[in-house]
Amino acid sequence: MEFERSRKKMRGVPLTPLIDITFILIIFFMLTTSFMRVESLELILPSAGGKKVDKQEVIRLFLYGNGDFQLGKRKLEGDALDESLKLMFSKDAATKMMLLTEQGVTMQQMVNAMDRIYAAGGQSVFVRKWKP
Amino acid sequence: MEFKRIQKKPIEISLIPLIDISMFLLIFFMVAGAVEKFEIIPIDPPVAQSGKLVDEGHLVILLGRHNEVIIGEDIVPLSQAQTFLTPILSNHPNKVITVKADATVDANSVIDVMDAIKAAGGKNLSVVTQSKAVVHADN
Repeated sequence: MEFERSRKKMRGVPLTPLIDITFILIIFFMLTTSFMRVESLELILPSAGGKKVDKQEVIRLFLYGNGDFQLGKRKLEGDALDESLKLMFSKDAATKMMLLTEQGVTMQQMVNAMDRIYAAGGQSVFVRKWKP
Repeated sequence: MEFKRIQKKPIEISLIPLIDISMFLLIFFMVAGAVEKFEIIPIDPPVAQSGKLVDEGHLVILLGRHNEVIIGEDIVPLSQAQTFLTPILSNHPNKVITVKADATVDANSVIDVMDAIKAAGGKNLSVVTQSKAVVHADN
């Protein structure tokens, strides 16, 4: 007795589900991906109620609302600030910097100032509010 | 006179290039980008060159454009931040606290938040920065 073989139709692999899922994944990754590189700057938090920081040990950098800098008692601009910071840290890299910000200084300005301190070789920075 | 009709062949759209390109895009997005952490308020951190790639701390404090303070997942008024943080930090004083503040926020309000952390007993603090400015449509 002979059985009739069921004829196999020539069908390819169905691609539609593959495409569906790929598109869903693409849309998911497009919406959730960020190309922003998140980094962080470390800051000192002097312990509350601890000993007061000796004024002699700390060098103050004043930051004005209009973007001006004042290192100690000298007003400095542009490269002059970087140079004097470098000179200072080359003598003693462990010098603590106190960054005093005036009302109206934005976070970006404060971070820029911290950036310049770290770039000049500074290691420890802490921030305070300041009223001229 | 009779014209012979041209027999139309059934058109088949080839799907292979489509799949190629979608796979390429998929792999690109998977490899090139990091999945963004969802945050309650949009925050554009300040740009800095000397930032280091550090893992985000265990406790993230967000400071939005309009001085709203979000500790973990709770919106906390600045005046109550210290009382909110004290029980958390008294158990784990060495917890790394990450302050993520918007670039346009007033530096003095960031310092207020830092003072609250300090008063609550925090020791390790880092400020979130980004290595390159991201251009936002609303800026």
